[in-house]
Amino acid sequence: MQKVGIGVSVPRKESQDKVTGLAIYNTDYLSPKLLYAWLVTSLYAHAEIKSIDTSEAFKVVGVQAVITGDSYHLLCGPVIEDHPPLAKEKVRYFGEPLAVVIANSEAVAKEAAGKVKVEYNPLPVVNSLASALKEGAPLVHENVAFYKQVKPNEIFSKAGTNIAQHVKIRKGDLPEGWRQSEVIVESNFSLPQSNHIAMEPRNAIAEIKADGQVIIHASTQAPFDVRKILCRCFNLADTQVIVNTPLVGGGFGGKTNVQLEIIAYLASQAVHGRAVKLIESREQDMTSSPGHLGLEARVKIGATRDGTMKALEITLEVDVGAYVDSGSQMTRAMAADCTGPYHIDHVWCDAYGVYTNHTYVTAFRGFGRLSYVFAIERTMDKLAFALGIDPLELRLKNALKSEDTTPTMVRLNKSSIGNLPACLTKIKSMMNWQEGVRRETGSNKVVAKGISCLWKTSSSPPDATSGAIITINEDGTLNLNVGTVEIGSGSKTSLAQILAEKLSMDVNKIHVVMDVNTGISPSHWKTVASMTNFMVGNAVLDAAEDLVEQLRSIASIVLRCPPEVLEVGGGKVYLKEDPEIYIEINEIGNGYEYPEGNSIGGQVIGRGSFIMHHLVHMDKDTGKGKLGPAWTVGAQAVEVEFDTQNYTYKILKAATVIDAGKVLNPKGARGTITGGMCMGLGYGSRESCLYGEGGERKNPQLRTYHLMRFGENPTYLVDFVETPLIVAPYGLRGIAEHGIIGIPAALANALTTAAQVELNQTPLTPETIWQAKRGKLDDSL
Amino acid sequence: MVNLVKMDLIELAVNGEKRLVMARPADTLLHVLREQLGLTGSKPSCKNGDCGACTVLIDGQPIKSCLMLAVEALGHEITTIEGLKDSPIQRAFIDKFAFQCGYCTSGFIMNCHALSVIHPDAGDETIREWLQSNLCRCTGYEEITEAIKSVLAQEPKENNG
Amino acid sequence: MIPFDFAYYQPSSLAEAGGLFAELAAQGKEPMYYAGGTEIISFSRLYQLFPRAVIDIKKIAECNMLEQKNGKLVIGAAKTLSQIQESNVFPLLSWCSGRVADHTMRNKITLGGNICSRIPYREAVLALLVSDSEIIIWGKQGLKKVGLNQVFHQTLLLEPGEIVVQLVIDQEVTRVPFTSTKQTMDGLVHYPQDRIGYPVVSIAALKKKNQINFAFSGVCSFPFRSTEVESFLNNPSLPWDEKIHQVAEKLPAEIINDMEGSADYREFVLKNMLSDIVKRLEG
Repeated sequence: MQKVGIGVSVPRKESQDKVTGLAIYNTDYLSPKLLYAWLVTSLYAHAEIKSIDTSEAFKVVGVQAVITGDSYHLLCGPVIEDHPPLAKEKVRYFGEPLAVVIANSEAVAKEAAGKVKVEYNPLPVVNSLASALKEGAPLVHENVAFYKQVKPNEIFSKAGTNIAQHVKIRKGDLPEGWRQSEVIVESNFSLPQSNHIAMEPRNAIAEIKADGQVIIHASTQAPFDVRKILCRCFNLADTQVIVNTPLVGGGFGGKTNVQLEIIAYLASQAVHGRAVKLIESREQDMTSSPGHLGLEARVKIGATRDGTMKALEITLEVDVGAYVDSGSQMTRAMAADCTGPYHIDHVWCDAYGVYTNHTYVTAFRGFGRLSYVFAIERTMDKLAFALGIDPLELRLKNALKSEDTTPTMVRLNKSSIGNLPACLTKIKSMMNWQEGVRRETGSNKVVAKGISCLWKTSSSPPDATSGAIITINEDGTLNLNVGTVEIGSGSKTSLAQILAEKLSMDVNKIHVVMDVNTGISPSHWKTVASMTNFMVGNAVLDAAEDLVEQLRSIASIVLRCPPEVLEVGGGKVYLKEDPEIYIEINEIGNGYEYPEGNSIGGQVIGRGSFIMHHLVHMDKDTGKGKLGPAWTVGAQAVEVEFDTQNYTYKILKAATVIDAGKVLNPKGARGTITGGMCMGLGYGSRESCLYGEGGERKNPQLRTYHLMRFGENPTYLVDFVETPLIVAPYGLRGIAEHGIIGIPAALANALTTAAQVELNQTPLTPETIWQAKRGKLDDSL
Repeated sequence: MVNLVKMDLIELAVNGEKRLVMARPADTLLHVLREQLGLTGSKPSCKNGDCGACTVLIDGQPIKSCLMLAVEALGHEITTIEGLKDSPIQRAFIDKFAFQCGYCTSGFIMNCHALSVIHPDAGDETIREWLQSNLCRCTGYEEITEAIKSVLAQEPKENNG
Repeated sequence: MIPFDFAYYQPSSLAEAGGLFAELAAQGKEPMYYAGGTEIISFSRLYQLFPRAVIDIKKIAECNMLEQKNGKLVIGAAKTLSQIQESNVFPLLSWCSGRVADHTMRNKITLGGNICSRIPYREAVLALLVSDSEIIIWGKQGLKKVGLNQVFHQTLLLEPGEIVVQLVIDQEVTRVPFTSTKQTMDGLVHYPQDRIGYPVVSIAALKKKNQINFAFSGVCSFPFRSTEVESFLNNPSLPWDEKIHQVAEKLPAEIINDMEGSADYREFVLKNMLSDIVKRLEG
């Protein structure tokens, strides 16, 4: 049979639509029946709402309704219900939605929104982690203890403080670890909040029909979660809510959060169920909707003189902003992987999710890993320097392997951990590491290299589930229907490849249902955590088995033989010992008709499902538990050319070697990795949410919030190692997020080596480096 | 003298057709193309001229349609992504895997198309200057570079930047 | 999405435009002349401008010319920065114009628009200041021609209703040695093309006989060419190192201290960049 599915660079199924402008995203949903909503957002980071005067807004011709938070007794949130969809009594961050105008056109809604007058009584602003954690700090939430915990196994807040979450890891015996250590290094780190900047701004449409049926059109990574949360917030049955999701214009975690769907629902309710479209402006997308967490970290590592790591003490303070959303889960996920992919017997981690008056946060590519990895990997370099060991060799020496245990005390095997040493060995030669990590190239220029490792597990709920349905068309092609959203990761195409491989079919003969409709599509947890190919892929294989069984059963009647001697492949059911005896699947896929008219069978529908197994919540006191089925490990490196006179630099190369288990689509996989790397270089070099003294956001535009642009990218070096994950389709591991994780750390390590000053924060602008150099100069005077 | 003092019908030349649209003087071209003509290939993203997702061609030159009034387009030829049919750059974007989510793609393709028509012999420096006008958040720009280079002349006249 | 309405006019002559302006102003419409319009649209979207009428000057012939005649280079105010850059009639102006926004935006942004912009940077102005350009302005008394340095103090000083029509540059000046550099907050100035973003510091310099003219952006909250700075820097009795070291004391205003760069850092970049520029022009 010809090579059909896995390991082939199949162009994505929706390619033609995407290059012709015919691809439909949620923003493209147009209809004359639509009304438009516009958010009125807070100008203060922390203030009592004294009054909201909507009378002038109502006077604008074309306004249908204006709603404010005080009309609702409603608190939402995926883990703890701490979040009123529209601010009530007080605002907790700059940009927080506090009223919505619904009007006949977007222009009218926006004009009227400008006429809503809000009177504030400013409160002391919790504008940093330090001020949030100070004794007697003003509280962002006064009544944390009274909030309903949706996931009580996952959240441990401290009443009377701004600590929304506290996760502990207690592995081994830390004092013993220090006793065994001959060299100890410590450092502090600071990483700011940042923005997702999916090119399609967040948006949602809601309509409530006369019979109570709620129709949502959402640009989301989690249509089934939108349904679940709407049902919980508004006490609806899940049959009452249908969520439609077409192609999504980028997510990066930012579209896992359920916010605008709730507000659009309230808006529709206010206009008797008419369809209301709510699109955020870019400025709102960057301030009103959640971003990526900020982190302050303190790391202390002990090792023997030969470089064997013995002890780790790490404190992570996570700036989750004004509401918890998934901030508590990211705090937990960081703690669970807190060592980096290194074996350490004695580990003590305290991870705090802390409320501040900053924009709240949600999942972001890597689910927190990129931040704590920065702290660990910078400290690894410091340790290597203190020991006089090559930083790559130090990592190689301590890399996790089979039989080692993780911080949450999961014992690893070859399948679950993969092969980090192989990744390090490969990257060593790709980066020409042996030529040295720093060389002066003349005229104030230094070329330097930095390295970082990464690892990540899924951090999914223990009961996360996926489904798949396969049907057969008259022409023998197949339809694959799954609940994953196409956010750009190419998952629909990958899943078609998995099915093609399984059935030995041409992938072009497999149609995928691109859009998701929660009323029709098999369910899927969320399109997140790099888990689609693993979870949905397993469901697809299960569905394919089911399909094959049914086809063999019908074919066995037609071909007059037991089903056991039949095989399915190439669009046929054939006799194993003689493939010349066969029947095409299209002849039996929708019932088989004998020449005289008698028929048997009926529509063949392959159905499959998958659910996570053997995951265990983390223990409150020790952290013991299992958050995901396996890890993906990798090594990354960056080479910079640094100007020692003006502190500017150029990123020459960036490299990644990932243990992918199995590479499904080589070109697609490379693009996924380089895309993550580019985003990591952006975060490391320039991206940050800047807050003013009053907590107001200072750079909510792409003019002042800088992204990597065309041509600023370095040369990318990407390679893979393939250690199969035995419970995954064809051995694959998730790789969609991983390209970003170690890059800021590798960049900082390269620049630290180049500038010869410890760089323990991002973004690493020339000014940051200059300031660090100057600080060092001042210290020595 | 062309005046538009309130919402009124105006005639735009879009993708080789004359189309009547109802526009306010303050309506941007992007808004009118999408909401009046259903040409949703041009994407709203920053509406501030920073990202390039709404790029269309005006008399062959790339323009960010979020920062152009519809009325300004009177008397000019507008080309949107829907007006490109099987152009080399569209094929190159597929062959080179030059997009993921696809939301920036129309704008990138329009800019690349104009570049390949106006400067078919563009070198690295010109390519970079032109394409820095567009942001992509999914790719690392590697595949877009390959795509544009594959449709330009094989031997660039300029030095590499 | 501009949330309010305005009226759009497209006159074909200066007189017509001026007449419209007077009429609309009298009606309280707060009219604005409109060329590329990028700033009017983006600021209106954010409620930072509220014109009730805009008067598009792009169809006025005088505003649209680009010619070289009698030793003078004449550039209409409605010429786009891309057109100017590509014509390359004045290389220093091409360099400076080529650093405004991005290439696609420069297909819309005009020279007049950049000079009159409310954004603190306005890179194209630098080339015009150091070249002692003249500006032709249409007003109640008809056309007048004045030295740009006389009427550009932080911003272009215009009477209500006046229109920037053309810039006139002595062609001699377009042939003398010049240089120009811009650094943004991101670390990639090594590529000449990587210049999207507001400057931390931007300098244009031009050497005429033994004198170097300097204009700056990103240093203070407005672009400037300062007699004090320039005569200090051109003082032949002091060595360059010393002059550059002291230059911050001579500036016309405080150094900008904002999220794109602290004042201290801008001073550091200013000095480095000046050294570099002097090396290039004197070296």
